[in-house]
Amino acid sequence: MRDALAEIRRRGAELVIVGNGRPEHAIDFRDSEHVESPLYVDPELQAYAAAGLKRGLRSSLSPGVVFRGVRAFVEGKRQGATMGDPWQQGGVFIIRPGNRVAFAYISQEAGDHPSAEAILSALDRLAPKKRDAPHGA
Amino acid sequence: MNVAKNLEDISVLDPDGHAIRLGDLWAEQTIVLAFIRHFG
Repeated sequence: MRDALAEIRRRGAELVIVGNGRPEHAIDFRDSEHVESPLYVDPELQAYAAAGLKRGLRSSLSPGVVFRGVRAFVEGKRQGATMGDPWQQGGVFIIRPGNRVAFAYISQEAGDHPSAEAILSALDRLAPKKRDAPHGA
Repeated sequence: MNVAKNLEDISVLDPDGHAIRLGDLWAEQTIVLAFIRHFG
């Protein structure tokens, strides 16, 4: 599968990542993982709470494992069982102008997350994809 | 409940520490908003 971020953008959307931490964590993350998507932090977890995301047992995953997991997603790779899970007790939403929610996935437990394919399929349902468009041009 | 309405007036911080209103992110384009549980 091709780069998931590129696939999202090819569908006219943007990937926005929100993490739990301080801005300096975002800088480290962005620089070390070469994140090209807009990246924000929600230190007080206000957005997490407003989104109805689950709070439960804290993960034993190291930040490095999580970062690799996110990179795996943005690079469109499937995550193996030992890779860690960036969506743990997180969630993914597709939101369109006008507060229209086209997709909502609230992780219920560790390892529970939507596939990149599910996200891309949801985007496909919003607008036809230009399959014949050249890419990388 | 509409999660977008719940979120739109909440601000998050960019890596430089500037507050960004979430609703502004999807005001003019479709976004895939991914919350990760751990960030550091």
